[in-house]
Amino acid sequence: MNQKSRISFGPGAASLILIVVILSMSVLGILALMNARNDMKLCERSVQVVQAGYALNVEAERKLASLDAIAAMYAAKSENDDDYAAAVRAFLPVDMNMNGREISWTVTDGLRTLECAVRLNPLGKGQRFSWVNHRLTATTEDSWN
Amino acid sequence: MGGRNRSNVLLVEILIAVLFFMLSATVLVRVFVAARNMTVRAGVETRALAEAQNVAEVLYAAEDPDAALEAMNFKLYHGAWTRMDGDYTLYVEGADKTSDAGMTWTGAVRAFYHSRNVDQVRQEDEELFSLPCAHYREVPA
Repeated sequence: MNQKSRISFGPGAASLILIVVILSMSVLGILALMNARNDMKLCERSVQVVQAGYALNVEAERKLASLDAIAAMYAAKSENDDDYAAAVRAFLPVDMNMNGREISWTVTDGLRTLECAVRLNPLGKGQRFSWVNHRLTATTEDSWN
Repeated sequence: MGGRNRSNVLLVEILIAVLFFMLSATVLVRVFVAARNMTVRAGVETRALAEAQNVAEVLYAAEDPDAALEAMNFKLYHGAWTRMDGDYTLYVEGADKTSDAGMTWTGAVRAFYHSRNVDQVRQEDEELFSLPCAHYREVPA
C-alpha cells in the first residue's frame, strides 16, 4: 500500500540528455546557417541579374545617342522626308539594321540580350524617334538562375 | 556508504555535463548570431535593391534628374545625392553629357550597408551594389 514510484536520476542520464540537447542545437544551428547562406546567395544572384540588365540598358542608350546624332545631322540637311530616311539608312551605325522606318539593334553580354527598336518619325514631326521594342531576353536557360 | 559515493559520481557528472554544455553553447550561439546577421544583411540588400531600382526608373523617366531626386527626399552631400533608409544608404551620382542632337544623363545608384552617419558613407560603409543608369533625351530640331 505504501509503495511509491520513484524516478531515479542515476549516473549516465545527464550525459545522455546533454548529448541529445547538443545534437539538436547543432542541427538547428547548421540549418539556420544554411538557410542564411541560401538567402544571401539568392540576394547576390538577383543583384547580379539586375545589374546586368541595367548595364545593357546603358549600352542601348549610348547606341541610341549615336543613332540620333546621325539623324539630327541629316534632318537639318535633308529637303524632304524620303531624302532624310535614305540618308539615315546610308549612314546607319554598323551594328544596326533598318527595315522600313524601323531601326533595330541588340546589346548582349553573352548571357542576356536586350533587343531594341525605334521608329524613325517623319521629318519635322517633333521627336525624331519613337520606341517600338525594348525587350530583355535570356540567351541561355540558366542566366536567370 | 554506497549511496553517498553514487551521489558524488552523479554530482561530478552533472558538473562535467554543465561545463561541456557551456562550451558547446558558446560555439552554437556564435553560429546562430552569424546566421542571423547574414539573414538581416540579405534582407537589407533585397530592400535596397528594390528601392535602387525604383530610383533608377524614376531617373530614367525624369526630365530633370536633380529635381526628381529632391522630390524623393535625397539630399545633396559633397556633390552627390544621398538618402538614408534605415540600415542602408542610397547614393546617386551622375552627369549630363550634351551633344548637338541631345543630352545623355549617365550615372549610378549605389547602396551602402548600415550607414549611421552620412558624412562617413564613403569611408566606412560596405558597398552592397551599384546600378549603372543612363537616359538619352533628344533635343527636337
